[in-house]
Amino acid sequence: MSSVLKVIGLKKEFTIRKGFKTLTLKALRGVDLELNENEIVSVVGESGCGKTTLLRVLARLYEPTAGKISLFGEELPRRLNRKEELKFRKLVQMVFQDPFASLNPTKRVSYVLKRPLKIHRIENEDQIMKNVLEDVELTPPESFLEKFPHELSGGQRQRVVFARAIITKPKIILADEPTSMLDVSIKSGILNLMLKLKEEHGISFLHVTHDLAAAKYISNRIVVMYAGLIVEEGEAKEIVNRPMHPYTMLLREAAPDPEKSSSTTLVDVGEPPSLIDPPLGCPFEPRCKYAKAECKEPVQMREVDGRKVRCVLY
Amino acid sequence: MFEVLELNAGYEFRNRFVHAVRNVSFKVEQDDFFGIAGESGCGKTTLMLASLGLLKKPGKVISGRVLVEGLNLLALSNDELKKVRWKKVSLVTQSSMNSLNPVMKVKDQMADVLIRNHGFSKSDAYELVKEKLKLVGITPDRMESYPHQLSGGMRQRVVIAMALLLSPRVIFMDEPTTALDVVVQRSILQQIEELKKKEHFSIVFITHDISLLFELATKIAIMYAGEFVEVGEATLVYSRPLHPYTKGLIEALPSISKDLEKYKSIPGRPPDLTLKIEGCPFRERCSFAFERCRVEKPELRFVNGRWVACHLY
Repeated sequence: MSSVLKVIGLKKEFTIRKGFKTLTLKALRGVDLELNENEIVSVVGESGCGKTTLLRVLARLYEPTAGKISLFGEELPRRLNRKEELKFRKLVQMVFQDPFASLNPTKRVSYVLKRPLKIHRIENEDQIMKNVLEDVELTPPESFLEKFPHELSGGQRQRVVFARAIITKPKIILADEPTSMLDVSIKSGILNLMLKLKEEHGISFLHVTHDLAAAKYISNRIVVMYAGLIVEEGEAKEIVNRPMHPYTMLLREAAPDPEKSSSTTLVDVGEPPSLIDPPLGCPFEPRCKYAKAECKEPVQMREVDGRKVRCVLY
Repeated sequence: MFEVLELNAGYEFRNRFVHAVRNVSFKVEQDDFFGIAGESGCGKTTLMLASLGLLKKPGKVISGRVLVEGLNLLALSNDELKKVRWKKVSLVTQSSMNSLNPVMKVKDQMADVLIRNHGFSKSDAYELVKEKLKLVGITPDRMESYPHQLSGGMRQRVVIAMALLLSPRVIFMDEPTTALDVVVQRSILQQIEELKKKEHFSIVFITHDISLLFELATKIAIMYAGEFVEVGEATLVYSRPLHPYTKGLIEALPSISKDLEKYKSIPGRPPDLTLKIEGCPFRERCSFAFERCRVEKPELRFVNGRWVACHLY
């Protein structure tokens, strides 16, 4: 498998002013990540762990503080001219969390879909629009083209957002919690759509979510993030069925599960560390029940049984 | 202990009426953990507001009774309601960020209801606030804080402590943990369960997260288009669902411990609640629908240990 997107040592810092002091918030503290062709990788973690920042840096909405991003084996320069920028946008598209907010309420579906075609100067608009609507299972396409977003249900709106994303034939879609605002009965429809787009259109997804069950269902690999660092990475089912990092174990325990006998109690105190002054060693050390003295030192990723874990236990 | 009888409620506008709660009855017994699940727009929040007498204009209760220890809540005047609220029933709302007053100290907003409606002196009220905060694991020095100085989980704990102030028998919880992270959510839910054991109150838990509900609740009601379609023991409903909608929801639910290769969503969308629904409200999305479902509305009937509204049984 060849990699379509590769990130090495990605860092992103934000400066915040507090009175006279200027503080640096380290949202990403050295992230290495690879997305292969025809692959869905889910990034899971709690809010504030940096998963959305990662996505936005990759979408070039934020400029990284340090690190390299390569697309199809070629390193992306810091600055792109307009032509390169357009080419990048054509290949990398984004899907947002809230379909109510990411569609202009005053424009019809046809306008929403036409914009990318105009910008990228793609011809045969009508046929392409119909095709993508069929691809996202909004049939018959004619009946949806002239609708306004408020006339669609949440699931249908999210499908329009997906249609807009795939209309430029991208290779990568960066999806920021695409199902978290949707009802249970339609959630799996969107997940199945992502699987279908991967199979039939060869699109790779970087999918950010906090829903471990959904991540397990659709992804090939799962990446667990905590306080701006990747703490565990590996094959999706393996990670969920047999978590190795204590933080992944905690996430797995906390996830709602109707099969679980409710007798298991979770012992957890504490919150993620402050990203302004993060701990030097393992970020999870203050909350971890297996913590040892050596956890105070920086911990490197190590390979165990075909997956990567940032923990001294292995 | 807490009983809702044939409640009909909705929202009245100039030219139409959204009939959001349609003939719902249920009963909460001592120590019950009663879960109500449904999609957004199915009427679950309206049901809760109506049964607590909190439904504001344009909302309107058309008919029905809500009995709390023999007392009909819907027939009480505002002043009488004030005496009952917090004492017999209380409420934990959806997002604690919005339900706490940002310019009032935690202790003051908690003590407010005690002093105003239940005749507490200021010092007695603070004493009680301190005790209840301790119960949910918040140290007394936090009483002086303003809501923005607390984390999301702590704010939610404050709202829970507030609901516990006068040791009510029944607490309604409307999606109390949806805005929180999974780990925080879990620790709050565990706390709720412990408190429930200690303080002996019943919970009516409303959420759209059915996987959570199946895990926690003892009894569960599945709500669709303003009606209950299946009501019964949570374990029984989960292991052997009867109503096609319940079945659909369970099949649509990516589960963390099962390795199913395909999850299916339910096609279509819920019916428009402004219209009068002929026959079964679910029939257009149902793969088992037949002629009778179009003409005759199924009533809740007792089948295999639970109540279900479906012509298949």
